[in-house]
Amino acid sequence: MTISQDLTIADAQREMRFAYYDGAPGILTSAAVWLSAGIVASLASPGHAVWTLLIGGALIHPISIVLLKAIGRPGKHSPGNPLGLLALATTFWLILSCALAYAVSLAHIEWFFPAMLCVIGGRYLTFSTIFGARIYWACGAALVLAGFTLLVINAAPRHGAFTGAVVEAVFAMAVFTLSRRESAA
Amino acid sequence: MLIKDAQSEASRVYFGGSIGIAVSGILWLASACLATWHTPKSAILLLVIGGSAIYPVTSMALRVFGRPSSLSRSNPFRSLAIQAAFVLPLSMPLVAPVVAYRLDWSYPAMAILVGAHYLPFATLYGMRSFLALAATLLGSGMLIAVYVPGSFSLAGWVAGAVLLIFAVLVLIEWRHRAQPSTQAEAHKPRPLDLSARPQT
Repeated sequence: MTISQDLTIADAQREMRFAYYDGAPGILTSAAVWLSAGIVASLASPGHAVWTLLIGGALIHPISIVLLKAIGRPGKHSPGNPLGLLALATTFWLILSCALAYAVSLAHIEWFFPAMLCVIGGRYLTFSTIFGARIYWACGAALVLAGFTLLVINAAPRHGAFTGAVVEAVFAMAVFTLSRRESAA
Repeated sequence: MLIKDAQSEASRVYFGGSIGIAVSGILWLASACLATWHTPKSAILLLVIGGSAIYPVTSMALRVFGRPSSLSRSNPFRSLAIQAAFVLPLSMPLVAPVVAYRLDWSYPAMAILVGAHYLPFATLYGMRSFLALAATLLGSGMLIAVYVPGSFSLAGWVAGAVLLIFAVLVLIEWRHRAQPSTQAEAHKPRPLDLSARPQT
């Protein structure tokens, strides 16, 4: 973990914000994956929707990098930025949680999407440190609240998937807007 | 604030995180005792309910040692400490169905989640021990789930022991890292106190 002696947290967050456009393309791609899972749950089966979310989830990072490069952002950070390691750590945690969520789907398929909403909501909380953007507190809280509400009302899998898509799409737009305002200032 | 300064304050306030790890380890061992000599249900309940007491108990212990229970408001990693801690209760919905579906996977599933939640602590404290702690908990959880699935309590004992061992290792790493800066501080030339000079 070699970090520059004179690197401030504000500098590290500024670099992450520029490199990844405050994380907005990633949220938008994730929203598209949740939407796909909702469509699959409606037209095929909840089981296929689970696999759509898991496989689509693995494609979020590469797709968002392509989007970032298309809009002229580097899509990578310098090796000495410790917030990159933090992002990697939360990604690893997410992958392991997905494995457990799959076990959840085998037991109670209607619990899979609410559980995944809680998991990704928890992960978005750390984005407020990675990007230095407070909006991720709201994003994480909205997803966790949605997940627990869906669990309590025992919602159908497709409702869970569409809820995730809507919440993420709204926050993707909000993060895009805030990022553009900051760039213009 | 420099990243190194933020990490240094975090590790100084929380003893490198060792107190929290020790509290967690004791809880796991208490739960494993219940799993071995009482019932699996009481063991899981103790771990889940007791898990929510780790933070307040750690804060109390820090106060006993004369440390503040949180980072200064100017430290941007103040939020990260809360976020890293919050990730675990938010992933509990993943464990409930595992308990219902495969009771013998309860401890391994929790060991995997607890292990993974220690990864962000490597950034919070700037200490590599947390990567090793995460890897050890993850590895032991997975190995026990796959190769010793019949034993309910084994993963509880192993996770408790791993946490207590790492509480010591983390403390050693923290003291090792803190020492050179303390020595440098001691040998730093002090500025002259001109106000103390006799007036001529």
